Amino acid sequence: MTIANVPPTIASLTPNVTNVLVGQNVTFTGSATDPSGVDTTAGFTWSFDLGSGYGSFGTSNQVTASFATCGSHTIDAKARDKDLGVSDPFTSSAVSIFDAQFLPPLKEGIYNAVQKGQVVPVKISVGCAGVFNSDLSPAIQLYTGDQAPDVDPSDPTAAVTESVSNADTSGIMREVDGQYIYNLRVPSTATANALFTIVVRPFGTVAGGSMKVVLKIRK
Amino acid sequence: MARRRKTWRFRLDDATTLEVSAADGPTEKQVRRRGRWSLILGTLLAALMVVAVASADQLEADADAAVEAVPHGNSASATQSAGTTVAYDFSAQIVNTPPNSGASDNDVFETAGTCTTAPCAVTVTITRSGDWLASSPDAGTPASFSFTSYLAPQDGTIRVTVPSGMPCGTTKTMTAALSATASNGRALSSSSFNLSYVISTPACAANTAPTVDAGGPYSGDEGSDIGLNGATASDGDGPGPLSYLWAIDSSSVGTGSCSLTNATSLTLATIKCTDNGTATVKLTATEAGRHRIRQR
Repeated sequence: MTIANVPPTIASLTPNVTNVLVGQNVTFTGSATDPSGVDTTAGFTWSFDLGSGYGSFGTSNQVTASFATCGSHTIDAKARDKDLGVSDPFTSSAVSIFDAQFLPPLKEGIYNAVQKGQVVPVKISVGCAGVFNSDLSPAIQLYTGDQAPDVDPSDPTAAVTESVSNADTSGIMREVDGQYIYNLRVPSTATANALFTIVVRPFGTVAGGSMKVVLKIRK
Repeated sequence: MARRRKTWRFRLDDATTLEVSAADGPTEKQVRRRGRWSLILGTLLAALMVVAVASADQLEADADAAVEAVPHGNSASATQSAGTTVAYDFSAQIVNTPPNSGASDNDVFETAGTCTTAPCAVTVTITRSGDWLASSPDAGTPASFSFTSYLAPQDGTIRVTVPSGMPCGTTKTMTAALSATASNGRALSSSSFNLSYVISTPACAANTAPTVDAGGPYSGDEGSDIGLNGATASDGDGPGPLSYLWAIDSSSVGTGSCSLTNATSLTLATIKCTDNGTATVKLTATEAGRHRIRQR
């Protein structure tokens, strides 16, 4: 008698985050089952479609993608067993992609001149296609120097995110009138021309993406 | 001569005295007289015992009398079908060769109806034994005989039934034992006689093995049960039912393996393999107590 191979079945394809900023990396992890214990033990190979067609099969069940536009995004995957049986395509859970930017008076991409000890209102908006994304708790930190936006939150250069508003929770921006705001005091001991980086994580985590503005102390 | 009494007194306490007395022993004359009487009585008792022994030895065994049986009718050795009841006739008799006369030769029967010591009768009982008598419904007719003469044989019948489940080609042996007892206590020189019967069921016909069809071709998926549906092509000629057994004859499923479920069912067995490939199953039918044939 002939015993036919049965291709694997993908059980899940899950992103590591569900809310993320445009351009931020998202890692998808797949898992599959197979009625053959031998095939399962041998492991599967994977092929992913990130929007431009399936790639070649590889041994990793993980793929990293980033999305250039806001909105809900998914990817597709196939799994293959040792006998070259290929599963049906499987669509991942959706990832919500959002735009976010600093609002005046701060601007991204420039050195924002400030006085030492000055209170700077840090404002951001988060949303997609003009729709504000409310109910977030963006994290804000001040680092010395010009840091990458994905700097480790536990980096020793991180300074205390001092706020002058009783309404602020230390390190957490608050939602006010369709934006998130934090009244940040520039360290009074800062020296002229010193650089500071304000890093904001709109979704509270590194994985959800970060954004930054750089401050430069006036003479 | 006057007799004297001897008396002993014992003081047990202040108020009680125990007195014991005894007569004197016999006189010397009395002792001598008693001794003579004792000798006379002992001699008489010994004489009576000798007489009694001589009387018991008087009924010596009849040296030339024996119980015998002569089968007639059905052969003592025959082939019979299972379930058949067979009657075996025989004649039982007391042989007394030669029939002497006179009281000195210890014959049970001197001539017909006479004997040296009454009562003159011999009872013959039949005791059957053998490995298939238990199934025979008839204890025999009659179960015992009473002879008052050695001249007249008596007919009897033993019936045996071949057990219905007795397989073909089987031989069974039955024995009927005749035991003779003389009512006057005299022993016969041979007081038992055996009738022996051997019965065989007909020889078995050459066996024809059953044949089965394993069905198929089968196919299925790895990790899933694949049903097996066999069929009986021929059930042979045996009396017993057929039993079935599926087995994996060979398999080539990579590093996997195959296993069977309900392997003794003709139509409900299943096979499951843990990887893809090929496998061969084998169905065996076994006829109870007989041969076996296999088909793949």
